[in-house]
Amino acid sequence: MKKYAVIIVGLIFSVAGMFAQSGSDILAEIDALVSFSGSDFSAEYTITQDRPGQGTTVTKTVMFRRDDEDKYLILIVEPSADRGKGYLKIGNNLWLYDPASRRFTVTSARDRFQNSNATNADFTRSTLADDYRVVGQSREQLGAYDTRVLELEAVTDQVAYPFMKIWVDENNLVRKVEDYSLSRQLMRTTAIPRYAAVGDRYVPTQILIIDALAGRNVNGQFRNERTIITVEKPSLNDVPDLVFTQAYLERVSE
Amino acid sequence: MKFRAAFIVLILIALVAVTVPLAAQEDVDDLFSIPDETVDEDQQAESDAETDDAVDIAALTMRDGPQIAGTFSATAAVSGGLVDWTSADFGVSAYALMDTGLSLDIRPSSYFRFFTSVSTSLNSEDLDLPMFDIGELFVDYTLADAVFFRLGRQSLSWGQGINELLGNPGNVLEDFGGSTALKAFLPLGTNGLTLLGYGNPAWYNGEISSLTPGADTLAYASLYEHSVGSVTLGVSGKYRHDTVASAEAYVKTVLSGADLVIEGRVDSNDGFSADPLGYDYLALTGLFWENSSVQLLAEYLFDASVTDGALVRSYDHRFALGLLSSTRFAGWRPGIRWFHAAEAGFTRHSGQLVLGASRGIAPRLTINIGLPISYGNESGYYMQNSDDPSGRVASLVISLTLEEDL
Repeated sequence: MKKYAVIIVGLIFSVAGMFAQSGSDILAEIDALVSFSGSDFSAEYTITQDRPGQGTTVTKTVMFRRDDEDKYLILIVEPSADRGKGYLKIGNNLWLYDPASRRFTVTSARDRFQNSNATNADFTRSTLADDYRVVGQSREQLGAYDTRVLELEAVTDQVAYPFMKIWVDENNLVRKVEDYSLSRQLMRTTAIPRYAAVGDRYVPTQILIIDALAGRNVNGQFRNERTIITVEKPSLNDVPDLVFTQAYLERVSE
Repeated sequence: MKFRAAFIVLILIALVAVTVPLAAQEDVDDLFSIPDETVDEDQQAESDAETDDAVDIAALTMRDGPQIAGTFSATAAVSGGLVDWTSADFGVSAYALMDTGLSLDIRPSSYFRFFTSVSTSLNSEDLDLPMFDIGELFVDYTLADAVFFRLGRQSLSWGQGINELLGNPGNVLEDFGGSTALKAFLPLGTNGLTLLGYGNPAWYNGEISSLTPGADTLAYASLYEHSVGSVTLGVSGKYRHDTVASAEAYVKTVLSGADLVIEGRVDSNDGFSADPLGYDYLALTGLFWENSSVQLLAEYLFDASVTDGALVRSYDHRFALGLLSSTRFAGWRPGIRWFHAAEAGFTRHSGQLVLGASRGIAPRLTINIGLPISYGNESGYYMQNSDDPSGRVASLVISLTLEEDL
């Protein structure tokens, strides 16, 4: 009897080990497809913020990314009131540049991008394999896609959301994300219906973010705040080193 | 009966809470009814990593011709309230402001840029519009795509304090306004080194009448910042011969999702020439945290002066707390600021509470309502520096602002 118990326990541990391994591998594959190690990345981003009952605001930005050095620079092009403002991220730190005062402010905690439902982490390289572990898997039909649904739990407190659910298509591209708080409250839902292939990588070119908590009643119906991000001119062309410096933000700002 | 009503309300709240995310989810799932052909058509082979349809980096640093831009703003305000706490006197006042600014930006090459900005403001006492002032006039030059220079009259500030709270007291460049400067930025470490030499017209126009511009009368400053993990360290210093020497350092990191900064500064106001030497010290700690609905800002400042090792002025403490809503309520974006100063070794207390809200009421037109309330010792810092334009202790300020970018 004891012998069987040892075998069963052994089997449980080995299956769990295989499961953990495969989960980690899947996350690493997902990260690799949308990260740009070995090359720079640049694109134009348009962020449309819809606040029910308050209208929409449109922010246009230019983004340069160097994943190998964990850097990015975002320059605000529109609206005119914010033109020349910039974000320079080096490692875990983010410098915000205000051209009106010609001042840089360093921050690690400012999470919301230009008061939208997008977070600054939405513009950095995907680090699911480093930040999360898979704690559950299932299959689900998501519109036209047969997806794997992975339930993730954070392994670090440096992430914005401690729990996530991601829907991954047959090409290992994330199609839908649900972000949860520590108390398992749904905070955000993100949909990525469109990707563009750039070289052997993929760039999400259409992203919809729905804030599960923020919104208001319009004509008797609750409408959530939502952000639509469209990405144009994605490229892996080399970007000069100077672009990833404070001096560059000063040079190009108004 | 009361229990039953409460139960029904709870059920309704629960239903709304459950249906809202569900509605959003169905909405999202509809986006995937048509497959993404971009990926399915196996465009990997067709797509080229080195593409011509990329962001034009040169276009950001070069322009075909000069670019002229401008801003205009006009504000009309009325305020009224209690003049002081000891009497029942009420005062009412009104004021108007009008400012306009123009800028000219010429970028003939990727390494050279000329920029100037001028501005003027309505003088509310005689309704005169004075001649435009030159705010900035500088050229940028980038050497070998690596070292950046800015020469001319320019704006600049360092320090980690929040202007809207305790006014960024760690900024060693508080005397920089209106200066003509040569600034150089060299990439070094994770961020870079900034070197600065500058002269302020105020130094030569009257402060010391015999002073003439020269290498020995300019001020020199530098700033170096470096990041290790989620910790950023910065050191800055300034020296002006026989006048002032300042040193500042800060450490900034993130703790439980909040930005935390500790900054220290020391000034020798006689540039090491006085005997005995006198020093001013200050320490600032600050915190910034935000979630989807609110921003929380807090600062604490300690400052003291020491001459020849003796405390000649009692030390002061100042606290500030700000709460700003990220969301709007019926179109209004509310905020609250609270300041408190404990001066002269906790013997002189004063403070100010400011409740405010703003909303757009028409294109480019914003209404702002503020309720500043000051309290404490008559000679206290916040009783002497009230947000009320006429120094009232409690007032209601309503302003209307028209702003447009030209």
